[in-house]
Amino acid sequence: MRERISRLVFGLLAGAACALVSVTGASAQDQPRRGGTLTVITPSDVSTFDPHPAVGFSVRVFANIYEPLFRKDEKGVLHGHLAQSWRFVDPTKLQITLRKGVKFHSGNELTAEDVKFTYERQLNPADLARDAAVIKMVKTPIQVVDRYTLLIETREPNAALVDTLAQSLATLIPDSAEIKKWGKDYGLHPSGTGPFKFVEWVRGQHVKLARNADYWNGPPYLDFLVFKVVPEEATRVLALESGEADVLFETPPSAIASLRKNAKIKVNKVPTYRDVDVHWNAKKAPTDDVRLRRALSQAIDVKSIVEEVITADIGQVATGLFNPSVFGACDVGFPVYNLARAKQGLAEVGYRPGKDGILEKDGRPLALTLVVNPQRDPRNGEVAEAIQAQLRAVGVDMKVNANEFATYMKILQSPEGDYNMIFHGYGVATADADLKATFFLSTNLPPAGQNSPRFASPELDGVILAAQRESSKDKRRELYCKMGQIYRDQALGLPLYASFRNTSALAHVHGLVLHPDEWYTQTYTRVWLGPKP
Amino acid sequence: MRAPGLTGGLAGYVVKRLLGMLLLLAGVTFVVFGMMYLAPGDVTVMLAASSPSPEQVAAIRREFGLDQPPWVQYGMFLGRVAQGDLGDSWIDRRPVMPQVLEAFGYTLRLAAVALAVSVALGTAAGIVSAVRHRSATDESILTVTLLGISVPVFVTGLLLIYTFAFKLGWFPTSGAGTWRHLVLPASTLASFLTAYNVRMMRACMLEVLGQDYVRTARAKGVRERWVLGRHALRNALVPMATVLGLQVGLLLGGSVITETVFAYPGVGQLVVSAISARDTPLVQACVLVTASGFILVNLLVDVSYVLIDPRIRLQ
Repeated sequence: MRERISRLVFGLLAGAACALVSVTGASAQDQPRRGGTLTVITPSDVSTFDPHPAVGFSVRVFANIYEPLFRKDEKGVLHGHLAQSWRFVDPTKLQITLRKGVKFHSGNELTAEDVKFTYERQLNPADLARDAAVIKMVKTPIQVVDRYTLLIETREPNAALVDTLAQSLATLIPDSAEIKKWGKDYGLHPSGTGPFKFVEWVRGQHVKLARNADYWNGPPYLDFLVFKVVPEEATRVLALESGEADVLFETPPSAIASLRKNAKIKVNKVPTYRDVDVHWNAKKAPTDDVRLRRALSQAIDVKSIVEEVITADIGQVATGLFNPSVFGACDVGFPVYNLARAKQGLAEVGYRPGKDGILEKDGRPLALTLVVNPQRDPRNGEVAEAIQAQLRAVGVDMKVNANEFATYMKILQSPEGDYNMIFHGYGVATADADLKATFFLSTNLPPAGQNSPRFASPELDGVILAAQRESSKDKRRELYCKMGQIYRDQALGLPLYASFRNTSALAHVHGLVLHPDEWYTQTYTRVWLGPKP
Repeated sequence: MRAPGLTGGLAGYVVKRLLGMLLLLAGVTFVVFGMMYLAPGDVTVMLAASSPSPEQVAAIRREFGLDQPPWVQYGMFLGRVAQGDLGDSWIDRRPVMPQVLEAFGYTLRLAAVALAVSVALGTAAGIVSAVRHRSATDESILTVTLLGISVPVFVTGLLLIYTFAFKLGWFPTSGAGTWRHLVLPASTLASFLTAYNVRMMRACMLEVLGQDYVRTARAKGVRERWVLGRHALRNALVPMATVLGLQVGLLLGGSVITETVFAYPGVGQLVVSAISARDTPLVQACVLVTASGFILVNLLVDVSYVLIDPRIRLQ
């Protein structure tokens, strides 16, 4: 009997202990925990910690050190960030009031003078800020109303101004006193208002940031945030799988399927603001003939290319000129594939089969050039080859001219424009169609800008500028639909696909809120680490 | 014994070569400048994002002297170099020399380990292969070396990462800083170099072993170890020294593929990223440092001929 009682007591105690363990276990799993180091893999190094002249992937790191006045959340909703409140005092004047008591990592307080200094520095050509063009609508000098209030004036009414200032790119606010103090060396002594502070930069290897315990918006859970540089794609995947790194921001398409099968890794497919197009060159013969461009566009089966080559992992077929996650997106009837009409159209323009099945007109073969930078977007090279093969099937001799970035940009922006078709991807970081639309303005015809279809008309300019000035969202949306229709009717090119990003993370990484912006806005403030399996 | 006066002759030779090196380096900078000048695209593409204003592009060109005629740009560059200043990077605005020397240090470490392993293994296996000519051992060594030469470096690298970093967890997948970071990239480089060195050593030894003086030595009853070590090996090492000199030179330029696969921050990766960014000062500094290393190593190789074979005179 005694033995039975003791067994019962023991059983009850054991049961209670188990229950306690499972409860604490569950809470340990679900409750954010402080501490630990998160290692994020990045394909290339930071060039400097000064946000304005920095290039390449530097901005991925910066979003954790520096902050903008406004920010769009992962759903695209605009919030004031360093800005407490804002209002248009008239259509060209935006008054912004800053949060009070926000401290830079140096201990200096953020004031209107820092914002004035930042924008004026960016807009001064002598300071060589990389992304000055993004805020070129802003007039200088910027007026400081009081310690926390400033007035930003634009040349024309600009409905997308706040959205523009909400993209981290070109809008991060550094510590002006520290820039003045360090001068040229500021790039190694960064001071921002962000959730992480700079600790060390080992060139070509890693950047280490530490928790900012005084962060105005609640300090992060992580003690350290490390960005590890790994240029080779396959090594990046192995570094994640081996547990050396916790987050692989862009999973190479070839590794997505195998990582999905790995129970220790979560692959998150995120819609982005990016889309990839191929544009015809409307200035260069023979694609300067709209009838030819229309017929050729109908010969390219975008749907099959996106489904077979791009695949559903990395893109969805574009139906209009803007990514569906972007304000102003509108289905304007793309894709336009119709092989019978394409052949008929080519015949109407006067092309007849010639030698080796290549179409000819007036004794000249239909030979075109497609320019691509194969590295910029996944499988660009393969897509170019698919376009080449499909056009070959209707008798077009399309040469693919693949180039690295600098050469590709040189061709894109050269006065002569030596291409008939060119790849052009747009990361619409503002999530507002205006950013992409302005590329198509006549003022952006090369060499001044990157209007890669090299087409301009008063009608198209009128629509883009009207959408920029219009304050009614509905009217703006209509105008961007109209712009898409002009693009389609003029057969300026083919929107191919809206990109997805696949971010992979080890299963113990929690609280990772992935942002559609290509890279600029990804922060790790709310990320915490559970026990490593 | 070395002939009296040879040391003096050697010193004169070295001084002459070092003076020649300056001319050679000036030629190298000219070629690099010409290539960077002729390469399509320039640094403005990297420094200014989408649709920069013409004023911005003009400001960038003015800052870096790109608005000047090419001979003025090159003259300005030479003027700075003469004062010992290789300039600042156009991308990060920091002096290029510390960056290049740091990367070069990493490259030197990797090259030294890879070479030491490949020379030790390659020489030993080459001698064994030659001595046991046409035996099963010789055939096996040849087959393994064929594999070492044929498998591309990036495949070897990824296989090593997969096996020893991912599956076994013995070494880190990538990076630099500790000896553990060196093992896999050095093994990758060594696998190729060893295979090459084995074949080279074997061929040299076979040639030497067929010489009359080796036959004479054997006929005199000299012990085989002496024949191989004293008569054959020493003579076989002369062409090997040339090959090793070239290998050192190549390794000093950085092994771009190996460095990329292992995210190893050597000079190979640095120069490739500098070329992509059209960062001419950084490219110039990388090439100057590696070219100096290459020339110095070649000089050492020439001097080593005298030490290996005293009959050789340097003029």
